[in-house]
Amino acid sequence: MIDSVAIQLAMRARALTLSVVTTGAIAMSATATGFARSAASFQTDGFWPGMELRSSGFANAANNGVGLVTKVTALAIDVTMLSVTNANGVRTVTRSATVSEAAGGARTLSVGLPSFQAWENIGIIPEAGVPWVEEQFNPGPNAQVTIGPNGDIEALPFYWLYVHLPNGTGLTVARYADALIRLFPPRLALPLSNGDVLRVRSDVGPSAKQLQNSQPGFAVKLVEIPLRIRTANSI
Amino acid sequence: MRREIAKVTAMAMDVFVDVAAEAHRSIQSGSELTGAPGQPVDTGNLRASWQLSFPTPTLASIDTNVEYAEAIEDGVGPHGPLTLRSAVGGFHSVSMAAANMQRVADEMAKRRAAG
Repeated sequence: MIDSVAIQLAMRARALTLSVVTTGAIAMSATATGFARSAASFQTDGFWPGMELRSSGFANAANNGVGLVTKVTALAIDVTMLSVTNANGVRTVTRSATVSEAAGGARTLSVGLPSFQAWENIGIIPEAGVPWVEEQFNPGPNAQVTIGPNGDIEALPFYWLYVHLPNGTGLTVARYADALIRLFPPRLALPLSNGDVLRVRSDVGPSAKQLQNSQPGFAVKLVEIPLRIRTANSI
Repeated sequence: MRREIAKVTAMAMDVFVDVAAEAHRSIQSGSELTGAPGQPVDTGNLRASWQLSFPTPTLASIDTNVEYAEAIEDGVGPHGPLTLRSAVGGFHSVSMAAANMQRVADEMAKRRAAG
C-alpha cells in the first residue's frame, strides 16, 4: 500500500546525508578567524564563501560545530561560528569567533544540508546570512498498472528542496543544487520500512531550476526530484 | 490498406488533441492523471490566462502571459517562499504535467480505442 509519509521521510533522511564538500580527516589548526592547513587547498576541496560548514575534531569545543564561511584561500578559511538555542519558543542565534588552537590531526570541515531546515508544515524564520533549506512534497497520482484485482499500484510522487543562500554568494547555491542532484541520481532505490522500494525516475530525471531571488537577503535554487513507487494493491 | 492508414492517422490526431487538452486541464485546473494541483485561485486571472493553441497541426502550445505565473509555478515570490492561501490549486502544476505526459498519452489512447 502506498505510504506517502514513509516516502517523504525516506527522501528527507537521504537529503540529510548530503555532502557538498569535505576536507576529510586532516591536520588543521584553528585561528582567531577560522581554520588553517599547511598542505593541499580549501579552494581545491570546493569550499566557497556563503557555505555553512560543520567542524569537528578540535580540542576546544568553541571550534567544533556549525559555522558560516566568509573567506576562502588555499590554506586558510575564515569562519564565523554559530550556536542556536531555543528557550520558550524563542530562538537565539549567537555568532562567535573561533579560538586559536595548535595544529592537530583527524580534524574535519564538511558542508552538508543547511542546519536551518523548514520541513513541510514546520516553518522556520530564516536568520540573516545563514543558509536554509525548505521542503515540499506531492504524493502524485496513483494508478493500477498491472492487471488483476491485486495488480500493482504505481504512484508518481514529487519531492522538492529549496536551497536558500545569502545574496552576494554567487554560484555557491548552485553547488548545493548540483550536490543534491548527485545525491538523487536516476534509478536510485530507497527501500521503505514497509518493504516497498521508492525509486528516482529515469525517464524524467532530477533537475535544478534557475537561480532566483528569494526573500530579501537570500537567493534560492529549487531542486526537483521526480519519483516512482509500485506496491501491490490491497483489497 | 490506405483506408486503415487514414483511420489510424485520424485516431492519432484525435489522441494528440486529447493529450493537449488534458495537459491544459492539468496545468489550469489540476488532473488526477498527472497529480498536478492546478493554479491557485484568487481573482481567477492566472487560471484563465493559461491558453491552449495549435500553431501547427502537430504542435500544441500551452501559454500564459501573466508575469507572476513563474512565481506560482515555483512557489517563490519576490519576498520569499509563497504561502498557499487558495483552497484550490497549488504549485508545480507545469512540472508535474510535463513529467507525467506518458500517463496522459496512455490514458487518452485507451479512451479513444474504447470508443
